[in-house]
Amino acid sequence: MTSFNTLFNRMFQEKSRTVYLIYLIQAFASLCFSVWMIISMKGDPNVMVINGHHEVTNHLISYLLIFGVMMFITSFFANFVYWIISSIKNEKINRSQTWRLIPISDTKFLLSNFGTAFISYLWLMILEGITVAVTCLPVLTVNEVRKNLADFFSRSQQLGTQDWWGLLGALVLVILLGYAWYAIVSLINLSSRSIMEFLPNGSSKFIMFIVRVVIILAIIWLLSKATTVVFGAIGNFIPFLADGNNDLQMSGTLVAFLLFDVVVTLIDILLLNKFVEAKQN
Amino acid sequence: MEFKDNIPIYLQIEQYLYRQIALGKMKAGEKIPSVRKLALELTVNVNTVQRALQQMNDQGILYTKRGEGNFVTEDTELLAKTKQTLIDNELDEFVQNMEKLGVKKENLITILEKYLKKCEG
Amino acid sequence: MNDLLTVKDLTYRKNQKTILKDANLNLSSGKIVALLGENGAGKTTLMRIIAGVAKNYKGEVNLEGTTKEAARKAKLSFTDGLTGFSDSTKIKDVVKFYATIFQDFDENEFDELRKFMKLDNDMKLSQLSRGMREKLIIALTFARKADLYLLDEPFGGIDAMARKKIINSIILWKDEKATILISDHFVNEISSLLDEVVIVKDHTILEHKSADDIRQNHETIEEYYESFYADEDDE
Repeated sequence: MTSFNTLFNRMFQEKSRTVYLIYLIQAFASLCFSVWMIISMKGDPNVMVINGHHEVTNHLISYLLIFGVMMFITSFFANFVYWIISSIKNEKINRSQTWRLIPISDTKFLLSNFGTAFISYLWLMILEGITVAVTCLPVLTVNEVRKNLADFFSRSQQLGTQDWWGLLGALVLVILLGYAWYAIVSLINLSSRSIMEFLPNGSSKFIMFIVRVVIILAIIWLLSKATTVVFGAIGNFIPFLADGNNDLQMSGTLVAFLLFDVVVTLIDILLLNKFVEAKQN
Repeated sequence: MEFKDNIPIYLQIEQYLYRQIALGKMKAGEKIPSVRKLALELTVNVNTVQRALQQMNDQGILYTKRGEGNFVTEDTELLAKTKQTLIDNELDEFVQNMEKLGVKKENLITILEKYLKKCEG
Repeated sequence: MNDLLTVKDLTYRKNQKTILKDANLNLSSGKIVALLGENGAGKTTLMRIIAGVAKNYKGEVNLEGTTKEAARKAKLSFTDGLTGFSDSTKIKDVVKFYATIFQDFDENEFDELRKFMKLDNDMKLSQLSRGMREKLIIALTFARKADLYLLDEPFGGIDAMARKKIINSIILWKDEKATILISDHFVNEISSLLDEVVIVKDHTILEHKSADDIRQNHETIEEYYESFYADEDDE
């Protein structure tokens, strides 16, 4: 039988290919934008005006900075695109006979699918982050820039340990939300597929399409109803969460989302295991 | 090799091997090709070859030497008998076919002699 | 003799239609078995259920003592249409996938089969004709050391000469203990190879007979199969 690690690595290999492709396209686009920007700029790019001071650096640093900024801007678009593509890829894998013939339990299969989608998304962000950091770092050699940053950081020292916990909590929340996205998309896809297994076949394509849309809308409605109920329930059972105490409130939200992720995942596993078949080759 | 699909294949394989032996292509005491090789040669299932060989072993035409494979018997009497059986089968078919064509058994020998003379001439 | 595969009281419905009802089948190891039936009779469905890619059925499928899907998938090799790969994937990359995923995939064996079928490792899937693609699928299926091979219409796009070659390779590469279940329309080419015949008709497994028993009655496999449809012509 195939181990979870083997499947995970292999799935990640597949998905990272798309990551590299998007990254390259993004880099190329950023390059084009940078060149366009530099050409259309009036005056010298290597002269920076910071706080009224004129600083002259060499051209390379400013070009790199411009590129880095472009990468940062395009990352919003690129990440959104990959978000969509990775979700579609996930569902394709869920229904692919080549993948479903792999000797591994449906639970591990699904978890690997979600996990690799999420990690590959992070990987894209890491690649972008490194690129932006590397291209923007040289600008720190400019004295004025360093002075301003130092100022900013000394002002930020007012952040206490509480804020660090908050930051960590926010990070965990983002992870849980990211995972939740893939789980929900699967939920919509797997449940509509499951229902369609029971519908008579002879109906026209149009009817099938309508049915799918209805199912999708129904699931979304159910989900929003479920989340309000769940959060309400948690609020009721643990009343002190509603209080201003930040930490507990944050923990409560985290627990709620964790529970949400677990429940949606369990439903997905159930659907995949009991109803959703691989597409016939 | 083309086998008839309405006679058990193992029987046909037996027939084929009997012929090989009768024709001298497989000599007394000689090792016959392995089961796998025969299966490949004749494009048949290994199981079918094994069944045929088993039958031939039971009848004594073949014998097995452990670890070495199947060998043709050295019993010349048995071999001669087998050859005779094959010849008899051919004659059976010939007589039957001739009868279907309207040639009666009494006239068979004369017709045959005439035919053989024509071949020589 | 221990049964390799046991299918008990299998009932399967899809889109409100009954495809199979109370189907029963027992296969022993080391046999070459033909799965015969009309288009749509349920042959592919049966294989997909055994292979674990069709779901929501009633009844039991037991392969070498296990009913769990993942365990079954490890013990069987099913001809897969390779739709999980993009068209630009090279054969050697497809092989890498299988070699990584399946522990019983033998790369050397695949290479021999590949050379036998005259396929080039650097060819992309999009460059393969239908026949070449089917040859690749057969090579991949048999490169795995499985106990049960499920071949779903493996010869559709392959010409008669190549079919003979491939059948030869099946004989060469099949392990003694392994069982092959082939569903195909070209009964004739493979009939001399068959140990047993299974007929799928009327939404169930109608008959399961040894090939030699059929021939003992002076019937060809094809005649035997067609006899099931004889009354329908009379209408």
